[in-house]
Amino acid sequence: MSVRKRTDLMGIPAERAPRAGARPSKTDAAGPLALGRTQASSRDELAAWGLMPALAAVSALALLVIAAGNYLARAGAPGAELLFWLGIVLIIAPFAARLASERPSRQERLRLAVWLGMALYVVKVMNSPNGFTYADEFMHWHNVNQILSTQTLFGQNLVLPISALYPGLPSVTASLVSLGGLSVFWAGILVIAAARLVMILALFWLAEQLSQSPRVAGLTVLIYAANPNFLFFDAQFSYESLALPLVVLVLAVAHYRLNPKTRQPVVLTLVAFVIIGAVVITHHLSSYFMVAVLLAWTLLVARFHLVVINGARTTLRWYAGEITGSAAWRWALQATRNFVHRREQTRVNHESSRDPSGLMFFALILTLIWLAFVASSTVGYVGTVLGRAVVSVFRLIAAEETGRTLFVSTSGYVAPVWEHIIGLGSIVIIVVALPFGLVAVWRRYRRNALVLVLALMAIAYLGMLGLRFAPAAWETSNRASEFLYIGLAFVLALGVTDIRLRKAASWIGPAAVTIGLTWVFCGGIVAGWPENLRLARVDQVAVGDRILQPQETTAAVWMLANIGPGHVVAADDSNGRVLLTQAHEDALVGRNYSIDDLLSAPSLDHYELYTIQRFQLEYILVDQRRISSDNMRGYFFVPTRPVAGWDVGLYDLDRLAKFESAAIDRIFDSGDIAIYNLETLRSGQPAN
Amino acid sequence: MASRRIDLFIVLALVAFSGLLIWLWPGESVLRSVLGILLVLGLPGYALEAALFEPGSLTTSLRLLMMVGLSLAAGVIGGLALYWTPLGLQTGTWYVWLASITVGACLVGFVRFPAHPSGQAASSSPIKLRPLVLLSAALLVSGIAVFVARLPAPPDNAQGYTQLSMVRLLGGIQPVVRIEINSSEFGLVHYRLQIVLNGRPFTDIPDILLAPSDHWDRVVELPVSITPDTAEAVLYRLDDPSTVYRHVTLQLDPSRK
Repeated sequence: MSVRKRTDLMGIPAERAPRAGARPSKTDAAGPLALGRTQASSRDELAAWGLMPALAAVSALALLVIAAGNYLARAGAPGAELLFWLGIVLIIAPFAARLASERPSRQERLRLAVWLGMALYVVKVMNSPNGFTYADEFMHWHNVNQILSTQTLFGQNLVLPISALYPGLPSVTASLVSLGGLSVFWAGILVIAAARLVMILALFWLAEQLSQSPRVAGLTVLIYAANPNFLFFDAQFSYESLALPLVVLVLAVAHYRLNPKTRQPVVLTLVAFVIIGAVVITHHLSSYFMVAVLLAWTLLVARFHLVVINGARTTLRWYAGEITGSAAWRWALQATRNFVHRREQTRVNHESSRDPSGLMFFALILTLIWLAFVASSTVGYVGTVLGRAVVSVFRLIAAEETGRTLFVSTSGYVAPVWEHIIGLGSIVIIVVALPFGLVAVWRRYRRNALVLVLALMAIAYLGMLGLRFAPAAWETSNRASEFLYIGLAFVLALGVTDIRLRKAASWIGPAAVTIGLTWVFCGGIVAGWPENLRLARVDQVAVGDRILQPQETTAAVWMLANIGPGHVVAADDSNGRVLLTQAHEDALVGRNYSIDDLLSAPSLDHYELYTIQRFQLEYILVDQRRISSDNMRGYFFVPTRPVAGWDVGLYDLDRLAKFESAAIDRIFDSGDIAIYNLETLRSGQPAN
Repeated sequence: MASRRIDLFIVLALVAFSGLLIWLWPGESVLRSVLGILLVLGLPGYALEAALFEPGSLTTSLRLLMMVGLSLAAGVIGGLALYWTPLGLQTGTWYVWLASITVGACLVGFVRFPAHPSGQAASSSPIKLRPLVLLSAALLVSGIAVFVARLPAPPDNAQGYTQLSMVRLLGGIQPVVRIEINSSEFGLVHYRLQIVLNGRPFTDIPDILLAPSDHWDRVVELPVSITPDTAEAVLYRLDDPSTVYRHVTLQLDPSRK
């Protein structure tokens, strides 16, 4: 990155321009670029608590309110949702007001950000406090079990094969289980908590380096927490929850390393290499995102965009007949020579350490090696999802398919009107605030290539919102949010500080900013997580001093005790995951193995028998409840009091009857669940 | 005035103590859990940070970030490194990996930066009482919130159920089966169990009383003389004696075990 002694209108070097509207406190001086920490700053660091302890106490009370809401939800009592939202607002609004304010010291902001992030993590922990209940968590739980039992990596995961090829998360968790004697659940909770801490600190550090403003840094963390997947999805026990924080740490270290005042660039390079390696081993999308950001950053530093713009301009001139083809070629050669020459000059001038290209190439090569030699099936896995998304968008544009209706689930459940208002209102706030941030970027930070990359991410986020209307692209849009929000949060934080500056004399400004930030946060929750999963569900029932588990769990416990582990068992999506993790069976689920067809077929005909024999199915678990095919809701007691959007119906009796008439062993019956031994059918002797 | 790296001595002591605990007292304990958490999520990163960065060159928050971030990275990369060793990923190898990193980094730290710069070691000033009380209260209330969240639900928003199972046991000529009833009902339930061979009643157990989470099982030897094709266990609730509540079936082909 070429650093110039360019000054802004205030005569301050652009690279070190203070944020608008900020009043640097004493502790601000010991910012991220002040490597040498003074004793005074150290004392400040410990002394400057400000309102943080009071806000922490308020947020703890808010957690208690949410816990009460969870209890009411499990009891089927009214008012649970109200308590949930009250708790969320009680957490967010005070932190938003304080972080948007100009008064707190750097240390107070940092502590507020850390406490906020961890308090929100506790909200997720309280959502499923007795065990993993999210669909992806079962996959990684199984991978940990595999490592613990086989003492090796890359075991078999029949439900999500790709997850076993990225063993970073299960490795760390398995080490904690082995050395700490913890259960997989608690080890997983701690690992993700550590990752969450890294996310907050790294994001704060990165934003502070870029903006030179602790205020922008604190707001960046707050706004990032508003991304639709922060509260639940990226707090689950899943590989992205670990990898994405490490990506942000890589970017923060990389940017820190570029600073000319950094005394230990080699050490920082080593640190970056180690963390890049960890990211590549841990999660595919995070590693691709990391490479993409580093690549974009490198290209912007190298001013490659100017080459592209000039190239496009020359091509247009040639197309319009203003210049000849040979002139255009000469221009292209000259432009290439100039580009290479400029890069050489940068190296000669010892400015290469200011260039992220080295880290980019390291990350790219490592990612490609992993993709080619370890996880080549990732191409098909990711390609299928992205391919479907692209096709869906084109079909939507060509009017070949109808668009997805917002706020309506696949089961037809329509979210209440107030959720529409919150969700759409949060988008409006973002759209309104973003130009302020982009203007701030252009005015003060356009010389910083990484800030430009973040601005591009912010713009891309808005573009991705359009994909939510395409049925097969919705998931892609949703999953992109936790990545693109890194840029969006930073740019919006710049915008918020600008807005705040202009309303500094009035109470309306802070109030509007607080309400706006809280609204955006609530909108993120509405967009990111289904209404009937935001509160805890009945995962255990107490009768006297005895605790009862749901049918899925006890069926798996029975299976492990009576049949033993390692059998090939067909099941629906939720029961399969429970069998995989708690009975250690080789569970087959879903369309990939034709299990959905086998379960839903009205009779056992040739196709069904072929499926049984092809996959050598030993047992099949049949659940009569329709909720069992829902891999997010199928792990609980079915509530007897109605829950909005919760399917409590049963399948047709044919689902069971075809096995009843097949003269095979029905070895287990718990009312809704029956387990059949497929031995005779598997060996090619279909009876009756 | 420079001070010695007491912190690194403490790190080394913790590594050694956790090793002793893992080998001499392998059972579960709070102490082992705490040391295990430190060994996986704290000590390697702390030691690496001490080896790589000059003391006092990073703020407390950056040190915390490096400590946790590098520890996580060490764990992730450690998994891959141990995968390539013949011993694989087991408690001992995990300990050796993490302890080696920590001890090695501490030694490098001792050599590169043998002392804290002036005042660094004693830079921590006491936290004032009010923030301390508020933070302690916040942590306590958060803990209570998690405790409340973990409370099982009352039984009025769920439905109880009963498991009935029958599996064949390995035996001689006579077929032997084990029948098991597990109650997850929300109250005392009286059951009647009937065993039917080839459609004819074989055994009838008229009253089995089970409380919530109670268990009943029986090993039954089926007579050879009947040479049954099918054995069925049928469970009734005595409060609804005419309705089959649960049933399981085995096809008793002697060639199948």
